[in-house]
Amino acid sequence: MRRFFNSPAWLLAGATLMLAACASTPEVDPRQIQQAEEAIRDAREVADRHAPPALTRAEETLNAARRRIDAGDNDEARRLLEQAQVLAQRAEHESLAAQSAQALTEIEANLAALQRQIESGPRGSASPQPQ
Amino acid sequence: MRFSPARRRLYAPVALAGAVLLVLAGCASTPESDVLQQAQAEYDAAVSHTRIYDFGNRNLQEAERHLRRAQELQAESESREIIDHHAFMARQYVAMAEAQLQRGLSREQIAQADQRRRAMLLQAQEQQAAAASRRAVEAESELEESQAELAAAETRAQTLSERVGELEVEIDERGTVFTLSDVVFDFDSDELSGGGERTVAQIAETVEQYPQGQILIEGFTDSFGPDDYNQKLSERRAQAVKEAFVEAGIDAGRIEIEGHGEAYPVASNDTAEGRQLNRRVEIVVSTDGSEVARREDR
Repeated sequence: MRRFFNSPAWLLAGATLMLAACASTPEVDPRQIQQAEEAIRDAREVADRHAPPALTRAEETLNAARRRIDAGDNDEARRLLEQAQVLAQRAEHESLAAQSAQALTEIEANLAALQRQIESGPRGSASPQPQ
Repeated sequence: MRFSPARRRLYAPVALAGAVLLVLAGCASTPESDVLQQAQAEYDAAVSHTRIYDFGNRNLQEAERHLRRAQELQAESESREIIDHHAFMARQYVAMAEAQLQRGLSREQIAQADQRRRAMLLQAQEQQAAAASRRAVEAESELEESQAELAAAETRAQTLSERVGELEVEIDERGTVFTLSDVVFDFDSDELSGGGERTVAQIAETVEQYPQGQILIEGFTDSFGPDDYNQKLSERRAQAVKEAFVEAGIDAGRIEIEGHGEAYPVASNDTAEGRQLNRRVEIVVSTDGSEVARREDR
């Protein structure tokens, strides 16, 4: 297919066709909208206190896609939906990474406290508590 | 184009085709998209991290696919919108791969920290166990020591009373009281008999175990004979014991003597047995280092 379209003649023909058929591009598949919405919902669930900027951007992009659909610009709407979905996925991954980093920081701090407790010797009430 | 060597090999024909196509079409070439350049730079930075393939491989592949598509579209002079769309998608997948890398590294470190924590707790438990068993061993040896001391003291006391039969030891409010019967003296004399000397030496040995103790030696007689004679005899007998103590190495400064004559009888003077009990020397050793209270003071 790609080789076929790589030929200059077809490129020109295709471009002409695209320009001509611009108003009559097929409708946006509602499942694509659902997918973007679901991705945003998932990302919001994973993000706790601090939602990553990508999540806000995903929501804005979804809204922009809806406006494109209303305007009849279905190609751009599809791209925006794709972008909204991937932004939401990115937000989810970033939240998870931030949470792991946070957990690591806490564990390191606990570990340091434990180390101090052990170094202060087994006397007194210094029986280390399992975290 | 800055793909990995394998990719470069694979896409060289495509690039060539693109270039040829551009020349053939003769169109004004589209200047390279800024977003695409940025995406390429971010992708290159991400893959320069050696561990990224361990955690973000799938997203990296997606990024690469979009990047490739954007390059193709660029070569085909596709519309800027579509090129930028793929470049945008590539950037998001690169960001995801990086987030996965960060998360993977954090989780590895958490696992390591957990192992360190286990090791530390184990170490702490061992320390505590060692300290506890050390304390137990100490307590046990202390107990054994004091039991041995007690046994030795009992043995000494028993031997003393068995061998001598002329010494009584008791503890009253003044201290430890050793009572020497008159058989340690020759009849009507202040001279210690041979056996008496050994007995006194043994008492001295015991008294030496209380280096703080002050010593009061008191002489007593029965009521037989004149009072002043009895008074003097009791004093001389107390003095004789003091001299034996000093000879045994006890500091004379710790020792006071006193004769009471026939006063303070411990039994009736009407019988021979009672009179024998009244003829005696009492050695009082204070256990707390204070002076032994005198009888007159009581």
